[in-house]
Amino acid sequence: MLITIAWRNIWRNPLRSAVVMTSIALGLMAGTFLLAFSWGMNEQRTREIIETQVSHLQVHHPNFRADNDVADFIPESRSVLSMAKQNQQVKAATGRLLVGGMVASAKGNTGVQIRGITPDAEHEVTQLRDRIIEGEYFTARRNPIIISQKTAERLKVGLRKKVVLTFQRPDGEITAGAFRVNGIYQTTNPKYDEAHVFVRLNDLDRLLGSAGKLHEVAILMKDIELLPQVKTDLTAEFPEAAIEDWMELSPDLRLIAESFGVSMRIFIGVILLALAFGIINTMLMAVLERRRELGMLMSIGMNRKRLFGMVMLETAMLTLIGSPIGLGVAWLLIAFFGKVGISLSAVSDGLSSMGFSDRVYTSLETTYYIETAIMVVITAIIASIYPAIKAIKLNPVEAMRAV
Amino acid sequence: MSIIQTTNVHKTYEGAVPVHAVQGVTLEIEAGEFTALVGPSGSGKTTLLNMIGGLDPVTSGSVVVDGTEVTQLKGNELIDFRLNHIGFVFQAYNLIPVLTARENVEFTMLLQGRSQQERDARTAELLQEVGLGEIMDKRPAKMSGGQQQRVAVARALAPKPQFILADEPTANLDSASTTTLLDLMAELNEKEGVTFLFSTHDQRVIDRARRVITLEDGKIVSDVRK
Repeated sequence: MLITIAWRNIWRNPLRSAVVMTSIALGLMAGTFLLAFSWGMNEQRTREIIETQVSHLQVHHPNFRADNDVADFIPESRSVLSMAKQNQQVKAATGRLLVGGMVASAKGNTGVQIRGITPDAEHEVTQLRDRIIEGEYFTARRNPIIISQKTAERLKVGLRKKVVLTFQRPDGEITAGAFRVNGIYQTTNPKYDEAHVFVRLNDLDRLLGSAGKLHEVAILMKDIELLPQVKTDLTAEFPEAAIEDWMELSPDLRLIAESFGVSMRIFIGVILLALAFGIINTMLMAVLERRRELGMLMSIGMNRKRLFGMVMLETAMLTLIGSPIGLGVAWLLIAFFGKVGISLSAVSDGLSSMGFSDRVYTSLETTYYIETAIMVVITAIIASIYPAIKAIKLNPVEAMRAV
Repeated sequence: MSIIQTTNVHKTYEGAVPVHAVQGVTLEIEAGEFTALVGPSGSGKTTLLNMIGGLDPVTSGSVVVDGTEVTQLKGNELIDFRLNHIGFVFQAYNLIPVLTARENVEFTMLLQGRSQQERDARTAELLQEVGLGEIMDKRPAKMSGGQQQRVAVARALAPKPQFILADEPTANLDSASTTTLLDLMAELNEKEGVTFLFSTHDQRVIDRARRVITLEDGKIVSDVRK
């Protein structure tokens, strides 16, 4: 019967209860949707960076990333690439030569990393062909080069124009080669674009004298969940190589991935704090309005434990009606905008400078709904304690004298 | 056998000017009595009833109800004592507005932990007894004052208390409802031996009481058995 009384009590003032339930629902809906927006945005950025730049795994000589020494080739590099390609869990793998050097035209020059790639394999790992905005993807026979739009602007060159790459060989000699612009690319990351040019692996190998050795093997997984296993297998097979996953390769992505959960909880916490004050206010009003009745209940034998429980139940009911509505509507909105996306074209320049896409697809893991629901219940319980204590501290006689 | 025994009970409300609401009241109420506490406003009737019912603490003195020193009980112990030993009828009825007549009567038995079967049977019996068998599913807002007060009497009787304390039970009722309620209480007293102690101004109630205790300025000035 306590449940009956609590249920009927919350409908004694339907407008007030509706306002509280609506505010709970709206607060949760807005909060959860914003989380999904933020989560979707970061997930897209992370996926894009992995699938176009970093890949899931990279193999290097242990000193290569620290020293950037052109002589630091991966030990047994062709075997590493071969084994990676044969692994059933690997979607695609490619080998690269990476050399720091200068690219120069008649009208300018700039420092870049020259990436010697196998065009088809590279496309499978980084979808580079899809980034071509002008020209073609390694169709020219002799020394083709793909440069970014930014680099083309800086060098004041266009398609089919000649540029010269200058860099140091492993033996310390400076060498140079003439290349013709075959294509111009653009990614969502301008800083990446400014710093990289692409040539064929064989062309660079010939200039470098690397004799088929590689500086980098990049691996894209079919399922990211299987990444640790593949990493362990490769490490066991090639203990002298440095095999690193995307979180080790890109600490900023790791930071975002790891701190996102914390920031989400803080965000939800702030919403719940506001919610808690709303609940406390409403339940205090409900208790103070019913002082006379609560005094009567204690007079006729309702002990403090039951009275406390009744106020808690009323709060729980208000919350348990509002929360599923809020979370349900949020789920629908997230599912809808997860399919059609939200266009942010008005600020696309700013977003792309930070590596974000201008269309955000909302997304949120199920665990966050469950966690949020649990946090709401805990908030409701905590918020109802003060009004409940206020109720049980009433003196029956004084309460019944109240008008 | 005395069911209520007060000994030299005092109640003083502290303030800028202390109010001595009850001053040295000593009385005994026997089981089966039908007693009216009368006196002008401010004479201490309600305060004395509240102290006997354990609702208001005494400043000094002792209140023994059914062999238990009520003034020594605290918190939930006192609330449970009230639940099991004392029935209350209030001037403003004070039913639980969100419950029906049946649920209001059943409520105190539920607090006692009685079975559903026992609760159902006794609720039906009591509502029949107070003449409200036909409206047991109505909520207080849909009942007249007289009907509400009869439900309040049924609720007070439900947990089978040793006696019923009624504070001005007819003050808000019209003549017909007052007569019906008095007939009901008198019948319960005569046939079932239910002990009633009520405070009142109402001459009709005083006329029906078999013992009339008059208070003035917090002191008993007369105690008449008819």
